[in-house]
Amino acid sequence: MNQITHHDFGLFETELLSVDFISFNIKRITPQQITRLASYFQNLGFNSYQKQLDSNQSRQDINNNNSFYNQFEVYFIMKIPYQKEIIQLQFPGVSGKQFYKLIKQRAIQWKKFPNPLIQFRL
Amino acid sequence: MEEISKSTDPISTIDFINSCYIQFQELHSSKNLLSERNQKGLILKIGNRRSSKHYRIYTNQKNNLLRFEAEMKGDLIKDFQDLLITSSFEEYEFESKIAYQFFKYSFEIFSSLNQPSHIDWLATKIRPYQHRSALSLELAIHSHYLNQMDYKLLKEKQHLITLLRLLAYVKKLKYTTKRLTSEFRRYRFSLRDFLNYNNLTPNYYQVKKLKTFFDMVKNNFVIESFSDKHYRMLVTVPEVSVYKSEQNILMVEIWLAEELFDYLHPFLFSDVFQQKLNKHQFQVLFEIIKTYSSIHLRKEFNIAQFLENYPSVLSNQHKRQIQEYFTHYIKMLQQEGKLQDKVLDLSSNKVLQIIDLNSSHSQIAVFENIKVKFL
Repeated sequence: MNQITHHDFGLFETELLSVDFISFNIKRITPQQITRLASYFQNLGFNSYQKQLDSNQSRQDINNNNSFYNQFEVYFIMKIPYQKEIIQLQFPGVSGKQFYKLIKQRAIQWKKFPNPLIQFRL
Repeated sequence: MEEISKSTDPISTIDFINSCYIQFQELHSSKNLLSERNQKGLILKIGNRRSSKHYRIYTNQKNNLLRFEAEMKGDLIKDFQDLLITSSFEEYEFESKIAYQFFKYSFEIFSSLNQPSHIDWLATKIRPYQHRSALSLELAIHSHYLNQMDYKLLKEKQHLITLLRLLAYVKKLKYTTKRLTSEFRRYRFSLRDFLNYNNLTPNYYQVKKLKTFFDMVKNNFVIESFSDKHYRMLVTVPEVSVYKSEQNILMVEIWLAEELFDYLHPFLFSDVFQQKLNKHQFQVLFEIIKTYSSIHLRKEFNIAQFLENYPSVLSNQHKRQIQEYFTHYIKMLQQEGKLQDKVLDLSSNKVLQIIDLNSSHSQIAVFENIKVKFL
């Protein structure tokens, strides 16, 4: 039969695909927990910013530790339409690529994220 | 996913986006469509951002690139989530599953497009899988991407078809294997049997012609017709000889790469060359197979030009006959499911059904139909 399964595909690199954006929803956490997560991202090389809505242009630093030397960014989106108990973490562009690289290196401590639900853009 | 727009692409990246927008209104009428402009160029958004699948195509004015982007979330990738966050993350398993979803969705969006330039990356990936079940078919000839050049001599065309038929012929024969630089099969068969297979009378002229063919194969002359480098290596014949056996029978010994016999060729044709064809039928069929064996989904036939460049002088009656052959064989491909139902008449820029095609249409574009099922 002319059937195609995932076995017919290989790694992203072989298929000329690259990750452009990763985001994941987590259960709403307290401001203190958000600050602790931001510090964790800081150590991974990501500066953390907060936005009330995804569509907002303006962003605020989450804590004062954002480093000039960090090349990557993570956005905490505080309000997700119709989902009160959720906040969203977004890694756009090169930051998404870097975060995925860390996932592949098993360098992410997933237990720090309550109920993560991931979205992918290739 | 990025695709570099090539100068051979018949339409620009911006025209591609505009054409997609117009056609998707009919093809994907239930999906949200939005065309926007940003600093870099145009964006076409397909589907609802909140649904599990969302697709975007971007142009980039600076480098004339197109970027194809799929966003996947929710139920679509929920099952893969565990693969991702587990400490035993398996890169291959995860990425092959996500890549599958990307190609499946891309195929769903683009496979019925009537202006399918710029999606060669998708067709090239998917095309060979439609012939997986047909590997062992004897009455079919497999082909690869062919250089879209002018074959000046009839001989060149005949040699190429003979090579394709030879690869089909040997499939039913016994062979021995030997490892040279890689694994090869050694076939021995009588020249007369292969002539019979080609429906040719085993007279002095045909024997001589076939011996010349095997000499050509030895010098890898025919192989230059294939545009794919890897395939050219595969189909290169390291050893071939024509000799007289002890019983005074002309025999052929040929070595062919083992890999050729389970290779997923992008194209498969029913073996129309097993019938006795007149030279015009052969020329038309060759032109159709050559044009079809190209990377683009859109196949253009300029029959008026074909007649003008014809190697011999043609009477009006022959010209009409050749045009009818084109119509006949194109309809045959459509009946075999290899072509979509629609034809673009390039002189009037009107779309018509293949069934309505006649010899008055001398410049047309037809569209390859890739038949696969994503499980």
